Amino acid sequence: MNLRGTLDLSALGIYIHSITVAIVIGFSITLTIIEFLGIRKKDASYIRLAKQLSLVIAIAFVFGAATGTLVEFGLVQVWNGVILAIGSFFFTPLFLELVAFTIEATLLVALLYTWDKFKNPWTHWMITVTYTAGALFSGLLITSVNSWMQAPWGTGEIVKIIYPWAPVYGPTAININFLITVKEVLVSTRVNFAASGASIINPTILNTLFSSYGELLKDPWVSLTSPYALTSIVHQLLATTVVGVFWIAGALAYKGLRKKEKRDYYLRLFKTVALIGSILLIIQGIEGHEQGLMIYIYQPTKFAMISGLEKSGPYVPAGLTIFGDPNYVFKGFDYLLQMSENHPNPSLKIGGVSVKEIALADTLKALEKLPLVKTLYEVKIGLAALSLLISLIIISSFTFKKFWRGKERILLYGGLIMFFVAPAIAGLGWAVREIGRKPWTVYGLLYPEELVTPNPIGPEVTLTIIGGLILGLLITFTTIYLVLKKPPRFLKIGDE
Amino acid sequence: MDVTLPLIVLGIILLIHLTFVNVNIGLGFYSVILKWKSLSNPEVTKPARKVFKFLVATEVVSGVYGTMITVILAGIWPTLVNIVTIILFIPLIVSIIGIIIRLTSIAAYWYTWDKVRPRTHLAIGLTMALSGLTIPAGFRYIFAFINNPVGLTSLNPISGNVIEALTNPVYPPLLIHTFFGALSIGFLAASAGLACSSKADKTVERWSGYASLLGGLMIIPQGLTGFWFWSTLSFHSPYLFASLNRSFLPLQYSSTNVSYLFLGMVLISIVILTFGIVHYHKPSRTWIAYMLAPLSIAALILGEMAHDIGRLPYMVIVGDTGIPVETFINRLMLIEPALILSGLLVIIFFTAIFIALLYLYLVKGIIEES
Repeated sequence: MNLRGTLDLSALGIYIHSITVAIVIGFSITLTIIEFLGIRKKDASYIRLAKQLSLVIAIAFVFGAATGTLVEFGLVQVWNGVILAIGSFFFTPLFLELVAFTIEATLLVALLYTWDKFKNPWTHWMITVTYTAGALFSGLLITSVNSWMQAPWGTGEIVKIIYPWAPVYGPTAININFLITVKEVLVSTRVNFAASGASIINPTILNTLFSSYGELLKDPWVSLTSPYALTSIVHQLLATTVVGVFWIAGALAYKGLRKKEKRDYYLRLFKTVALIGSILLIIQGIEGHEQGLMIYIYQPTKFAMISGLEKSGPYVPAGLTIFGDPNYVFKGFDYLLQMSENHPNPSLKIGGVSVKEIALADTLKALEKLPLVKTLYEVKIGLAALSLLISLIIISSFTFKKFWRGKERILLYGGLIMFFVAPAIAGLGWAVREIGRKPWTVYGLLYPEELVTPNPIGPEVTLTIIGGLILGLLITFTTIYLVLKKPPRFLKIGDE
Repeated sequence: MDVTLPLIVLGIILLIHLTFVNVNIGLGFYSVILKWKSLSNPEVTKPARKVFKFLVATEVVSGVYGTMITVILAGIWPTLVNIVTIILFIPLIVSIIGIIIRLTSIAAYWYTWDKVRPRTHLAIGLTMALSGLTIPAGFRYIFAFINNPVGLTSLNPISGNVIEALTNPVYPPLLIHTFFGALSIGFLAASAGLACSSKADKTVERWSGYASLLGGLMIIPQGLTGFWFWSTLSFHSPYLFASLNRSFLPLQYSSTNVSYLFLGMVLISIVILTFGIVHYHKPSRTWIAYMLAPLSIAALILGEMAHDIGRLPYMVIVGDTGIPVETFINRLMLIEPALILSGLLVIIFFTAIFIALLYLYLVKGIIEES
């Protein structure tokens, strides 16, 4: 399989894993709120829904752990070069993730099996809250790892040395000579031997570099202090939560439409859950501005792709929200290429190739992705506008109760639409995030071809992994269906 | 950099993981054996189901710790992981595929119980049990590789022959020895679990004794393959061989002496064999079952410690010398001991709660309910 195929396989693995992430995180937030309402209002229907949610979370967690292992394996096995980052910038977040993961797994078992076991129901709710915090902490740490690949915080001016249009990525928490030498060897291996750079991440080279320069990374916490990461954490966790919440709302809407005799029961639950989703979606829209600002500051090529700026010019939405001026002229690819052409250090070479050549070639490669990223982004924004409209309709049903009386089916259909639209927005957003940072894997620093395994990946392996992931997903959904149909007796879920 | 703490962290996580993995593999086989017995004796269905539910509980713990090992290895020993993932590419792919088949077949075995013809269900169960073996079938190559790095031709740049790596002579005896060990530990864990259940239901008592017998008898092929492994090490990993036998044989070139750990494992194995047979004949003596399960885990821990500490101060053995542990330690950053220690303590604390909860609510609660 070629590099393109390997990238696609990794993307598939991440997308399938993200389904369970959306369930675990989105359902946990909903569970916390619904259980709170159930206890506070002494409402059995809320408690019943909360118990059902806890069951689904448990099943998704197990499958999520399995696909998470595969994604992790894929990272280490197929993208060996990433080990360089796992041993440095990713180490602290990944190690803390192990702690979060253990806490999450333990508290999930605790919350599932302590339903109705405490005299004071708030004790159980506290377990739910702590579990949800663990799940969010886990998501936060993994997002920070991805964010470092988007904006390599702690590398200071290194990227700017190669790409004159690049920003400064925070303090210089690294040993510049160490990193430049690694980059030299990677480029040299790729250019001169047409081989994967992964094979140079070996004890001989790293120990020699350590003897000459000391450690690569001076501050192990630096990846967690990045403003790009902090914004992305809020953005990604909100997006994931919105998807999970609208999956619950969509399922309740479907039941409400199917079971006419139980419509009132499901409509009430639907409206509560959909309200949570709608509020979060609006917050997400406001927060999206912060994420856009981070892209504008830290990923100039991605910003130009999203805004379709092959040539510099105004981009009304960003001009208005960032500068309050719709005519503000943003820098497009023409400017980025011009800056590369007028490189301040044209004689500087990395691995025998001049940095000017590297900057020009990579900026052009990024430009090739503009039509795809722009289209994906625009479809996403279109769907986001539709979902905002549906969310406002849902919220209006709480303020204009008389108007909506007798028209509840419209609300339920809106919920069904959101069941599909919410994940589509998140999926498109993720695609923009990931394709938008190409041609690099670590923005401005490392390419996929420098990190990929030197071993070929055969079609039999590819098909088995794809088949396994799909089969696993089917089993998860079947399990969720069966367990909801016939829940374990010890949960005492009760009737609708 | 001092490598003591990283070695302790790796050791603890590895031992917890291996304990649960071995128990898990053996439980899979015992559940299927009981399922097969239930075709002619419906009374056996109940213990078959109980054993399978034990399996599900241990699968979760072993899975969680499997993830941890990947992060710990890649974070603390990055270059070793890079070498292994390049040279042992095929075996690791086998393990990944094994994990997929294992998880899906466990789910399939669970949900087809009483829903398909018994023989079809048995076939699904057999797939589930056998898939448990495919995971160590891949990962045991790593241990064989660090005992005898077949296939590695150059460290800089990392290069080698991924096909030649499959021919490591240390691998076959290590793998088969592992298989019998896993069966023994899993059967004895099943015996202890069923002995616990027999307080409420006397009909399962017999199957607790039967598990003890099988678990005890597995010591015989395990001992034979262990001897094969031991003798293979004398040719292909002489440093480790010397570490294992330093107090008993006139071998000088190892600076590490794990011979008493090795001897301890052998002696415990003899006790397991003896008491396994005794418990089969006297299944009402539940204390024997309660004793055998921890003993089998103690034998596993002693064996693994002898195997892994015996390599020190090397990480990879090359003949009667090796590549020191320090060579592979992470040089990319200074790993803060306080972070590692505090993280490890939290992980162990929550793991203990996790296991207790699983026991209380999954094993005790649900199994009694079913």
